[in-house]
Amino acid sequence: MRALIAAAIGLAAALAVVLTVTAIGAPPGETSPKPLRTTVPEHP
Amino acid sequence: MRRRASLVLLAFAVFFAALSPLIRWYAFPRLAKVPPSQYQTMVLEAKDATLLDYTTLKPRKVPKVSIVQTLKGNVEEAKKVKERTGRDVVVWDTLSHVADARGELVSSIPERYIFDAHSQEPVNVPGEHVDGDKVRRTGIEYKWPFLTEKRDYEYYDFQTRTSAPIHYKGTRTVKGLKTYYFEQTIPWTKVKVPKKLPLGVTPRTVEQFGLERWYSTKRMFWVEPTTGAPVDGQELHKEQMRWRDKPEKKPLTAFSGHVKMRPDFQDDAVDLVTSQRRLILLFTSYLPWGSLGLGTLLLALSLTLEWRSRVAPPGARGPALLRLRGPRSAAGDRPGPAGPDGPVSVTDRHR
Repeated sequence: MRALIAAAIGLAAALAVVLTVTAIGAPPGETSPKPLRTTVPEHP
Repeated sequence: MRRRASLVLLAFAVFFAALSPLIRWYAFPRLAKVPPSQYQTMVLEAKDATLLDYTTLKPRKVPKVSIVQTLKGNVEEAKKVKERTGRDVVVWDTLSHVADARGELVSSIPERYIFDAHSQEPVNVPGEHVDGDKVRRTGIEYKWPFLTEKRDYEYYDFQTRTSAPIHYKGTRTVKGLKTYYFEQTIPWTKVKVPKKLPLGVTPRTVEQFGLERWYSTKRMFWVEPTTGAPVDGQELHKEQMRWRDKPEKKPLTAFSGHVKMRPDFQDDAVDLVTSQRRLILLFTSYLPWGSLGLGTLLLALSLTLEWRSRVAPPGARGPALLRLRGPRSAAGDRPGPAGPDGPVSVTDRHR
């Protein structure tokens, strides 16, 4: 019984970590102020 | 104490073992996406190309033609589309600007490409366009999906405004990276005249000359399969101005050349893809396999501890062993002195 409880705690913790990380996700950032290029750049 | 430790180890074992499939099959598809704020420039070149001189209406050889492709992620528009559709999207405002060796304009075609940030499938919403013309894309453009497969894909051709299969042709190595090689051939097709041409020439001017624009290309891409990003791209690109309703008149070559990525931009793309590849592999391989391995190790440790605690009764290991041995004493395996209930072990005497 105690082993089952320990396994359930482990499973719940894994679910909590993954769900939290995916819910937070990555920030979208901002649109670059740089224009669409109409000249050939010297370097990348 | 040993039993408690084995239970804690069991909890950690289950935690890491469960983390493995959750990262690979739940977190990765949700976290892996093209960032909506990406800004990227790529320069392609065609050496010894042929261009149409609009002043004389005659083709001429030029030492070099450069194609500057800019992809600019429009975050505000992506948010609006997400509100409308509920999907994570990327809105790329792009410009394919073609210039001759002196940097003079040859043509310039803007696009708005809207696609799913996770799957790279096009999302058809108002605002999508090529050179100001409303379009409805099917198939991929510029980038393949993450974890690209060895199969044909539908690829959108912005000149013809249609999609056609781009065929998987095998695996190649480019600058040390394993890539999938794809090839698409667009047969001669009548296409729209770009709205921005040199000397103020417009589609209407071209029409008044009695000309129409035809185009054909063989498109080649070397795609790094983990990221789905091309690390090399080439085109055998041909354009003609054909005389409308006069098939006997010789067409004018508007452009002909072998377009290749400029080496410095290709190196930059390879560097970017290499770093992004590591990040994707972290979610598809390193973390899932690492946590599965750790989970298995912890489970083995937990089971070992549990087994040892069951074999030995409560108390220290020494006395327990002595008690199991019954009438024999620890010292020299000689029987101990007899008590009221039979022979007494050394341990019993210490109590």
